[in-house]
Amino acid sequence: MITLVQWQRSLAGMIDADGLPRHFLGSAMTVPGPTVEQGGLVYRSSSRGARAMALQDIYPVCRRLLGDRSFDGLAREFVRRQPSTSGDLNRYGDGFAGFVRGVVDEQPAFGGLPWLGDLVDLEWLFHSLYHRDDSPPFDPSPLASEGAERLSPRPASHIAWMHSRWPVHKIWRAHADDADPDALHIEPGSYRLLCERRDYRSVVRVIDPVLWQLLDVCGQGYTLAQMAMLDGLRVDRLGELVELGWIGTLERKADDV
Amino acid sequence: MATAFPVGGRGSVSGVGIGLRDPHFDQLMTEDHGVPWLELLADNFLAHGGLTPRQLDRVAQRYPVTLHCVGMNLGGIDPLDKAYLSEVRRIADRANAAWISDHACFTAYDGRQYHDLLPLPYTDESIRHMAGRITAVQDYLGQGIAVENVSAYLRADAPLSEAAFLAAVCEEADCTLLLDVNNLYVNQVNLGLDARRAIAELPLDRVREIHLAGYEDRGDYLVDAHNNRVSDPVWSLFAELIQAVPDAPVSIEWDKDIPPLATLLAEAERARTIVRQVREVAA
Repeated sequence: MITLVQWQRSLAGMIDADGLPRHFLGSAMTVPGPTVEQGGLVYRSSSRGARAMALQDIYPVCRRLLGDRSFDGLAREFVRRQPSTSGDLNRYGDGFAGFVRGVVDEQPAFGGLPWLGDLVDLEWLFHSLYHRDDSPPFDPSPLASEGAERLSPRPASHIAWMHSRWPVHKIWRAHADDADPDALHIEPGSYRLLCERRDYRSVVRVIDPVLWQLLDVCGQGYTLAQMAMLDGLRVDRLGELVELGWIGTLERKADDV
Repeated sequence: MATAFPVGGRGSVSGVGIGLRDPHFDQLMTEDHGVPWLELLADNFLAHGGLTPRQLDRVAQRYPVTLHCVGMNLGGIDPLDKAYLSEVRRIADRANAAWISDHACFTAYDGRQYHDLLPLPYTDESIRHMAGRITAVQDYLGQGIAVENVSAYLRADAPLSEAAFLAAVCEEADCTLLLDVNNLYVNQVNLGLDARRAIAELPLDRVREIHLAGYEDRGDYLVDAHNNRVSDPVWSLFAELIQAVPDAPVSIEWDKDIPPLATLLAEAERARTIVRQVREVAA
């Protein structure tokens, strides 16, 4: 009689495998309904389908842009390669941008879409922002009791930022808001983007490169003292980030052990 | 028609409710449709920030709710996911959920999540294993849970019936049962497990809730797709079951190809009518 571990290993392996699940035959009874192959394929299809559906939900603009058939083909291949490691399906799919970049590099059919990976990155930021914690009101009081060498300004949880050589924010808007994609001019450049969850919706815009750099340094965990030592960094504009609501906390650096 | 609803709370769940799905949210929050309670999918409310917690608060202020989960992996081998359980407890507390439920299945193996309700072998080993995990979950959550029978497309070569397996699990873990009538019927067609015999074998005194849903007919077998109206054979089984548990709360589930709210309400009304008729005959 099969053990619990043997059964679970077999069924999980069958879902992950390619081809017909013939190796499962010895573990399962013959039943009046589906054959073992049919039964196995129902589970494989359902499990992979749930993950593919999650990708559809997370990357709607990418899907609209590529067309359902192309996108769903990419999603199926990603799902085949990439298991889910969290019970929360909202966490699945953060590696999709890297996968798409690989496809763009390898397949001539996608050669005209060098910005596609960055667009996927942008949609992931939108998705992850939607699920993030609310930022508490900024509390400046640590400034009164701690030195600059012990305080790190940390970005608020409702924002994210990225850099792209392509105007993916315009591409996204053109396809997300029923604008006219044909009127879009895609010129390479240097686009420093800020995504923000505002009134329960995510928005994106290009921001001042100086503020973007400051925010990026904050995101890396530098203390105020360390930031002051960085050449060219406009620490004097940190107050603007606070006023914009982009700094969430002043994090106290832990004592050295 | 806007109207004030009673504030929900533990123990106030009765009658025929429906599973809350996103397309129906606004209607259910702004109009009175006579829905006495809602079943929430915990996995739709995991986000801590943004709109999700506010939606949860709105629902809980307006309706009594229960919390249905798919991620406890009650029959799994992997360690229990305490982070997930902690989230379930947080959501249940925030929504003042009357009870929490999950499925008699496994959903993960060796760190991989399958996002599906995978069947277990009906063996003594499985009974001991799952009952132990349910006990641990109940201890962690600080309350009993209801465990739902699942539909299946494969059956392990094992000695027990599904009903005997579930009865033993409920007894050993001292948990309640969420009895899905559609799943019983799907397993009758797919696995040859007689649904009426199963109802006779199950511990009906432990039934906390009943689920009704529709399947998809694939010709040789049925898929528990939750994308259809409840089928006639399932209505018949329900009518028989409700004679034994006339006060059990009932929930209508619909997860794919979600129809207008009116369709769910019609299904709920049909269930309500059956319950009423059974009670009248009994009286």
